[in-house]
Amino acid sequence: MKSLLAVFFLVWAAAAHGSWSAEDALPLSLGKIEGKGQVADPTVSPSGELISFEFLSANGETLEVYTAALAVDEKNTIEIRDVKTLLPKQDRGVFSLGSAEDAPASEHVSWGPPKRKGDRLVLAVTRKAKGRGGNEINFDLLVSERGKRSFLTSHPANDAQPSFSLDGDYIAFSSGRSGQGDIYLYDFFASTDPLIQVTYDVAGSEINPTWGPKGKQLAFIGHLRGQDHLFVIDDASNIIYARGTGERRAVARKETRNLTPGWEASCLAASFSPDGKALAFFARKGEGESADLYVAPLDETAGEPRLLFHGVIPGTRRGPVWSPTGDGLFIVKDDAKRMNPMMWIPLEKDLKSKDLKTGTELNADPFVAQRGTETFLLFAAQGSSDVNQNISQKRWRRIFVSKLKQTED
Amino acid sequence: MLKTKNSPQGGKTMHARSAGIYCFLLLFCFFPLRALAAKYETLVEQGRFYLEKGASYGKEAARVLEEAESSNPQRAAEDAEFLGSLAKAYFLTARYSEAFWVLERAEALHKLRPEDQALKRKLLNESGLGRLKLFSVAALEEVHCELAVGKEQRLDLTAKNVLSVLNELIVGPFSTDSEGLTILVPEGAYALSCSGASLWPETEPLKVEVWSGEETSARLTASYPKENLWRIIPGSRSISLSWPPIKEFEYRLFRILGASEELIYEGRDSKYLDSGLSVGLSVQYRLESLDAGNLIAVAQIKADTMPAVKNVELKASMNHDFTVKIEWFLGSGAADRLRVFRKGREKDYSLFDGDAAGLEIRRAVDGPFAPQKEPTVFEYVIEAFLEGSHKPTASAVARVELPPLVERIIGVSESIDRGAIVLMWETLPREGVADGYAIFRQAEEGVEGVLVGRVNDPFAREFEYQVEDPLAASDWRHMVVPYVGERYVLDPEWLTASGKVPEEDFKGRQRGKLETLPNLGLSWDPAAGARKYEIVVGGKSILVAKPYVEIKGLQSSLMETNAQGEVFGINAAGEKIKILTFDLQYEYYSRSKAKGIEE
Repeated sequence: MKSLLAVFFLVWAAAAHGSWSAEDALPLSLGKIEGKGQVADPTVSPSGELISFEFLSANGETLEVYTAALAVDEKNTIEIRDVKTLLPKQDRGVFSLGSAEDAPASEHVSWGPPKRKGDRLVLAVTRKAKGRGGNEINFDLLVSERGKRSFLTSHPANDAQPSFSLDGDYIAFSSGRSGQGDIYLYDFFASTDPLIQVTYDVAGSEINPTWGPKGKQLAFIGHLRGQDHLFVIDDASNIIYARGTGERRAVARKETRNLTPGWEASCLAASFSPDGKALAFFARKGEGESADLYVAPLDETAGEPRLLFHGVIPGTRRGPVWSPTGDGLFIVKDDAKRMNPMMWIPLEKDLKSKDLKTGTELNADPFVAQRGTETFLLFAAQGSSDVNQNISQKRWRRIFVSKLKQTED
Repeated sequence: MLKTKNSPQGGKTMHARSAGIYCFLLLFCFFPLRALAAKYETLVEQGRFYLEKGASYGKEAARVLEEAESSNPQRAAEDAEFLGSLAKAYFLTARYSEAFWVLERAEALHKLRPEDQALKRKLLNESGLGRLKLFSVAALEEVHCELAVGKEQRLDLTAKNVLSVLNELIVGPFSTDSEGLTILVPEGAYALSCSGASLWPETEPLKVEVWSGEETSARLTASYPKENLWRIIPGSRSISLSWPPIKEFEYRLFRILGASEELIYEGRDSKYLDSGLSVGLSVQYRLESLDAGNLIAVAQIKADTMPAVKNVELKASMNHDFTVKIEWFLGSGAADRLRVFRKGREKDYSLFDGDAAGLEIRRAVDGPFAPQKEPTVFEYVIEAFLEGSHKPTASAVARVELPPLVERIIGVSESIDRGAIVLMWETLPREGVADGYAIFRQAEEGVEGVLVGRVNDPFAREFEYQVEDPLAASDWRHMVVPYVGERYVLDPEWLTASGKVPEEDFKGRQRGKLETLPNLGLSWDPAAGARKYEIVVGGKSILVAKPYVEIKGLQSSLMETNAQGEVFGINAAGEKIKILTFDLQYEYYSRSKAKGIEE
């Protein structure tokens, strides 16, 4: 109870007076792959020990997830070591497209709760279809943890956009196995079939599932009448424990709420606030228009989603990035003139958003990580605009890290 | 009919027959081998076909490959392709431990192909499996195991399936060498229960945590050392225990008596002397072997202190010198005091009375004793006692008889065989004894006997000596005279006397009745007033009414003595008056005369 009060106080204090500022960002060395491709979607494991990122090779032929150890020295300087592809160079046969020349593809990491001896993650990985007697390739889900790397799914249709539940019991993902995009759960502890279909709408496809911090909250983007809406399931347990497909379908329809009814906009990926009481999401009102940042309260009586910021660049793989205290979000402003700066957007209406002076340009894919008492902002960017900087630094998108500090305005 | 190739006549039948036999043998031996090889190859090929069809045919692949191995185990053991295929089949059917074992076999033979190496890496590092090494200080024999998911542990569906397959495998029974057995287990916390002949029954399952890609050891508590490896030496009030040492390990030895259990030893020595016990006590011992405080082996063994001795044996035998040799044997068991004695009419004569330790076998000599007229029986007793007890726990009695003294020699027979004179005789009584026997020879009438030898054996019944002139010896007569100490045994009792005056002369008596003639016939003038006469000869007194006496038995008793006889007259008042004295010397009595042949 005390801790709950403390959290409440912290959130209240931050919401009332808090703001976040960033120190100058420093690039992380990528070792051997430095300068050989573009980095995207850096994420840090819950333990803070590992970092993952996607790396698109310079020739654009391979997209691979890399991991590295995240080290913080005594001066709280972050560096990464032992950068390597998640899938090993050797024995790559089962993960590749079928021959030595074929390029592997892996994307969209979702970290699960750490095990006692290490972190685990799930991601979508290309897989040879040959093992199933065909010639096609597709994405399947692969779970990787210390001493284990195994495919969770095996289907000719793509399984992608995995999201680990907070307790690690489920992975939600989008799959084309039903004929159109649907959300499925992989139940690690199922007694028989581990796959649970969550959405059944035949008129559209459902994508980008994401779990909330409270129990079995699940949000996803669903296509409805020509528009992509944001849906939420407050308690997916009811669907999970439903008996049979018929009952599950009925329960799923009953449990699924559209948070953007009547909207004429394309909602993009969403993310839950740390307290699970709100969903932030990107939405684009029209073709060619920039995306906007919205926050939708999950309490049904709280009303419509609220526009927080206009003109943002959505993340490559995931929704808006909340601050650890839930008092606001970190976004990349869609501002070509200012080279897409990183910004802090407070939740509180009375507070002003502000630029984060990271010293970087063409920023993308922010991710907030905590290690010890320190909070870091990681993101992909093309380096400083300082003319004295080496020009090569701006040629390739790299990972930058900046310490975040909570300040009083 | 087969024909030899080089034969100009088209071959010989003999050769053809031999060739036929050889061909038959060749067919008999070769074709089954070929068929065996073909079967193996077909099955391996079939297994590979199933493997190419994918994971859903893994079971079929494993089945036919196992069949191939059964059909030709030797070839399978060295066939890298087979081993790789079998490992893959096991892998596809979640029989990960078996896949691992096959790959280990191939690696030991240096036949691990690159794809097998990749499979092994995947198995060990990417399958979510950890290695769990089951072992104990001794080889595992007939062991059954089961892995149950720990209370706080949840296994996902895949791991559950793997565990199920694994449990089917380790339920066994299986045996290993002392290296143990490594199985591949899904990561998690488990309760391991194992039982078997070589294991100590655990009350609680062993908690093990298995981590992916890591090796964890589960040391099973062995039932060790086995009973036959112990050395147990029971004492009367102690038990010496020793067992094969396990290097660097510590031991705890418990004594279990009924419901009570006591730690009696803790240390690194692999032996212990448990003393201060009671006689005939049955004790259970439990030995716990520990490695850094962890229990690794337990053995329970029963041992007994020696029971009170129940069996003693006593033997008594008469020596030639009339001493008695007493031997006793103390059977297995405990005795503190031993008492050996000869029973007497009034009191016992002790031969030994003392500590029984180390007296399993002992001897004693009693005597010497002098033979008496009648046989003498000596009774010896042995008694074993425990300390504080007056009642013997075991006892035995042995009797030995001292034979009677020889009264006289009877039935001396003589034989001559190529210069050797062999004498054999009987004694009266038959079992009678003397210190020895003197052998006399009389060569001719009227001369004294010559001593030719002595036998210093109380029980001797024969004597042999060599002579130069066997012809001369044919007329010799021999006498055997028993002796005791310096004295010849001459019992006058065997003398017979008669006072009856014969009606016929000696010659007539000998001819007519084949009567043995007396050695002495003596008459004297009647003495005035004499109511009867007493003749004393050879130590015997003979009373007769008339002045005549005949005595038999003097020959043997008076040999080599100058005996004197006396005759007394006894009047009415009982007074004895010597009438005469006479000398007696045994005279030559030839063999021919004895046979009634006139010389």
